[in-house]
Amino acid sequence: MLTLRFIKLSIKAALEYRTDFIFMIAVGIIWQVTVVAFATVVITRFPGLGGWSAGDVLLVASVRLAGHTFASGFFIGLRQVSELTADGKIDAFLLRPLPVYRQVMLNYFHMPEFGGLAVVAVMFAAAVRMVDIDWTPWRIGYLVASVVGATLLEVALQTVLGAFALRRPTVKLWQEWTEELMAAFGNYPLHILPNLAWAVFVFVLPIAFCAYFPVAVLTGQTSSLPVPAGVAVASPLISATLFLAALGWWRIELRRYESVGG
Amino acid sequence: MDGPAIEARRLRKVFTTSVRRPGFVGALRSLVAPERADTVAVEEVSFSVARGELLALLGPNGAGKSTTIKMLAGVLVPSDGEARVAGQVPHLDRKVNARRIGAVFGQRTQLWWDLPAVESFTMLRDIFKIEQEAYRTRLEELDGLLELASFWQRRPRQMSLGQRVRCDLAAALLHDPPIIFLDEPTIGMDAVAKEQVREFIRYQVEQRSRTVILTTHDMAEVARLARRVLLVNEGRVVYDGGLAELQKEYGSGWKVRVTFATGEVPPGIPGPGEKVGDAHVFAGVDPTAKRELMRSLLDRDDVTDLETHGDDLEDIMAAVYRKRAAVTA
Ligand SMILES: Nc1ncnc2c1ncn2[C@@H]1O[C@H](COP(=O)(O)OP(=O)(O)OP(=O)(O)O)[C@@H](O)[C@H]1O
Ligand SMILES: [Mg+2]
Repeated sequence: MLTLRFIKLSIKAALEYRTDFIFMIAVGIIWQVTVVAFATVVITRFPGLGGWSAGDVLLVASVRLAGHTFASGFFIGLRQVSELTADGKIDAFLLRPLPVYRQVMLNYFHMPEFGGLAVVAVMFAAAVRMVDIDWTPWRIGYLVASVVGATLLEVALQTVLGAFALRRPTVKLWQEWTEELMAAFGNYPLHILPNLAWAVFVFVLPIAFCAYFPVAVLTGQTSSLPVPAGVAVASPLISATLFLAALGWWRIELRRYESVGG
Repeated sequence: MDGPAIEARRLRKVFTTSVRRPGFVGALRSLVAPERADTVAVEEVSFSVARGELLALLGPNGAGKSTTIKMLAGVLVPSDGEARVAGQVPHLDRKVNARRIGAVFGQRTQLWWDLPAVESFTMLRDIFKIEQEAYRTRLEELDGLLELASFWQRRPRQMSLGQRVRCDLAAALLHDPPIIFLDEPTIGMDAVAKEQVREFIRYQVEQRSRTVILTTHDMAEVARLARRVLLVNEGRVVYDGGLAELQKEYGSGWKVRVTFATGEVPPGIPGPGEKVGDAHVFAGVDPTAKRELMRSLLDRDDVTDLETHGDDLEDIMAAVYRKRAAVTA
């Protein structure tokens, strides 16, 4: 399979610069550990964050970080669309019998992100121990769906912006900004924020669907949510729908692709 | 399938770019109400290329050559008009088109920057689903023509420009496409590499009957490879026909290069000539004037060197661009 083969080649290529490779993994882990350490401090200092227990909040952070790890590990190419356009790589992709989107994904495989998986595992273990949830198969399935949903949501947002980046090189900044916003606000129960802010995170930049709503469903706290419980339950589905819509938008923008002179 | 390999009918491409206003206030205004400007890169281009033919697509910088090629390759969607490659519209079925064409843009590589070139080749083998046996023979053939084996273990970032473009040429032909687009494939190459690539192109046309569209600013290359040329300027076709005819039409001129012992044009020689280094160059189009000049020069003892030749292609092209620009202006 092409994807596997590519991942193998990327790892091989990365391994040839061994110190770089180890360094990258280390940076990935250190970065994630800092995030977690910060989150832990916040959680332990404020045991009741918006009425949620520390375990609940940790579960939000775990789902989000897992989604983010997969999203940026596999889809980091989306954030390089500006460069790919400038280098004429998108032109090259259009000359091959494969979807351009898939080739963007395949262009670069971000190793250090997968170092973060270890951190994610530790966080999940801690969260599961702290929360008071009866882990029925249905709930486990929903947790998995939530992680997939969190991944798709981040990918959807980056895809929409990446499609813009096909013609506007400065969009890269917006992509970085979006990622930072998601990292900053995705880890907390958003009802601690003022109304206007969480409205933005539901309707404009739908970070709420990433981990906050699904975890509310898992922990049975949907009554405190600003949306109907059904909407919260449907979060993974909504994320998947947004992802499909984003793909459609990508296709539209690709038809308007203008390449670069030269 | 019959019919031409490539057909362009009134192709047009307009690029829309947003213009930035100067200054901070300007930047803010651009943010709110971006000002758009249209660049017409290709105004109206029609031509067709028969199967197995090589067409040299020529024109000054910014004429619209690369844009035209990108529309034919399915990279850009035309703003108007129609492109047909092997009878089909490239951007409508990009993947089918991709199997039929190979393209090299000399200034940019299509190889994976971080992978050794051979690994890029195997990726392409998988992407195009080339059978292992066919892949091996083709790679062998390409290596024979382009001598890649000595450097194909390197990554493009560690290759010289000439090496990289040769790998790009091989990559573009691995899936055995009947039609190839070469946009300045010899740009920045040394004489030996250029020669090798020209031989390669000639082989692809003559032995492999591939259809080729080639752009280049190297007129020696055009003279060596092309029988037919398509000249574009400012997005329009200004000449479509034989190279020989073009030379006849525009380049009936002559040039005589003389070195006088005194370094000056002695009296009695028709025309002042143009001083180039130690020599003087006399040029014109009227053959009687040339005969007259030659007669007066051959009798003299103070002529230390004398050379005569027709216009070279470079001059002819420059003359055509100028003349056509004057017509359209
Ligand atoms: N992506 C783009 N966006 C905006 N304008 C473009 C773009 N690509 C090309 N142009 C403009 O279109 C015109 C034609 O460009 P093109 O690259 O086709 O010229 P060319 O004939 O290939 O020139 P050269 O010999 O310099 O390669 C130029 O005026 C160029 O500035
Ligand atoms: Mg060009």
